[in-house]
Amino acid sequence: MSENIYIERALEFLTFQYGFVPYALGASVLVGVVCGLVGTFLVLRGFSLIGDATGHATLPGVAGAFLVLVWLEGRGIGISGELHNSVALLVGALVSGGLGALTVGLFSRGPRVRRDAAIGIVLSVFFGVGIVLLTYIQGLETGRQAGLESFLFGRAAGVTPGEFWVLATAGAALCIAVAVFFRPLAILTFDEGYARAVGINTPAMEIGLLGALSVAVVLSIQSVGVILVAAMLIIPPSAGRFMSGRLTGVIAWSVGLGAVSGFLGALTSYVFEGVATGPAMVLAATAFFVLALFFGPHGGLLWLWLRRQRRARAEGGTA
Amino acid sequence: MNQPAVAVRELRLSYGEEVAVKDAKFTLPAGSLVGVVGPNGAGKSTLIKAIVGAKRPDGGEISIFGDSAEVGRRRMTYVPQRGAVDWDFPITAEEVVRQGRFKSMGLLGRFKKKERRAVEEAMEAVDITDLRHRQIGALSGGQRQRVFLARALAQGGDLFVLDEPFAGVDASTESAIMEVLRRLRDDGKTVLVVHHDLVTVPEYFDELILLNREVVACGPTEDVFTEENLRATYGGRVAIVKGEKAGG
Repeated sequence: MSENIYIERALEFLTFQYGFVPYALGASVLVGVVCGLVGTFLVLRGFSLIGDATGHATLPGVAGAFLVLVWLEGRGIGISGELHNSVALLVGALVSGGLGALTVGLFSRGPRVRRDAAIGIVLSVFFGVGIVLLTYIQGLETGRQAGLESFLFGRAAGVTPGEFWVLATAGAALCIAVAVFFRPLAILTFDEGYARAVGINTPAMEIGLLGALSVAVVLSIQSVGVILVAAMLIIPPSAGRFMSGRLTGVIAWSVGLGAVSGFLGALTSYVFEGVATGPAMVLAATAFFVLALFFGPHGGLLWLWLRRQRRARAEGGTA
Repeated sequence: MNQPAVAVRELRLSYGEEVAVKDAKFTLPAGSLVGVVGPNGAGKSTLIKAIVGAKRPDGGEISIFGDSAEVGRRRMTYVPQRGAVDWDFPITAEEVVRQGRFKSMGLLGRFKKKERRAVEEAMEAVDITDLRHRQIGALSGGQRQRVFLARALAQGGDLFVLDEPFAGVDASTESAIMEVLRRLRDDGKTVLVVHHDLVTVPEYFDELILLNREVVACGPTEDVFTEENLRATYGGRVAIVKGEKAGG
């Protein structure tokens, strides 16, 4: 009998019985699209963990923006409207996430701090500050802090229609920007020395990519959460590498698998009450990664194994 | 074409405290095939990076075709050292060659007939047309080098700068590359090559730069490629190489 409940709930979800469902779904799919797109460039440059630092670095921005809102409210100049409030939180996230990403980029240019160390420093310092602020907020007597928790692990169901359209518009702008700068980005990712020699402004492109990363992360944290957003930047592109031998192919697979993972994540967290969207999404993406790892036509383990078998048989035959 | 292709004055390059090249001064006549040789750690690649704009000088001046380096570099094409890229990158041979056209096409320019022809011709010139759909990781060292040369040919230009193009390639690739470089020179282009095999120097290059942190000698190969200069560049050992060559 209990399975019936789950099937019923899945049908409820898929037939959009409740008004919030399409927006929760859209926001989750958007995570897969923007993270799959931007993440591919980072993964191919061997710089994917900067996404982890950026994700964690958004937390103090969210909490800080919340405190500013509370403070403004206390002085009688509260910003009206739910939407304005959530946009303010996202702007806070963008500021601190962008700052985190730039700090990693800047640190790792110097001779003394390597990338991994820079990522470790930024991630823990920013996240630490974020947690301190959150703890402080818990003690406030405002009663509005409930929503903030969902930024940790993501709650797609909390995305309102107004928020969704803000996210979707920014996401579309991000995709267009990446498409316009696709050629220099591709050359920079593949061969930095050549990029500089053909006159590409590599520092500007680099900052642009970090900016794109920050935007992708900020658009994602409501659904997937600040802790796991990195997984959506890393896992779908990593799966895509097993699926295609071309950059455009890897991006297409990464975006596609990311989007489907987003869909499955939103569905799962609706069907199994209490499961946060972020972890569900990440598990779905991981399942795809495992499939790609075994069956992907570009370096998948199954094909490698078959080839080795065939070679062994050929050698056995001649012996 | 009376302007020198490259003129370098008082050039100083360093990594932090470490001085890689000091007081470099030379001019390269346009339309010549120029070799840069010197021992490991002599600053050859650093010098090349400064010329192509991938390394900022700590002092001195580089001019290209009489213009400032920034302006002159628009007429320059660079073939980086092969080790510099990730061979697992998802890109085919043809796509690498196509990158050579992006500079002139801009951000959103379409791949038109002219671009396609330049790519085809470049691939033909180095004989990689039948490898075009291969992922670069599936190519041999020599084939990879040809792909990068083809990208440079597709890009075109008046000055070609190649960093160790013969490192780790087979003999047939080496002679194929050399043939392409000679043809470029015969068309009036200037070709600058970082090289490490002294035996082939007299055969390959019209002009030579001997480098060991400073420019030991620079000029026409027959004047510069002397035992005395080589000893000044490498220390005692190389006289033997020269002797063998003269004997054979």
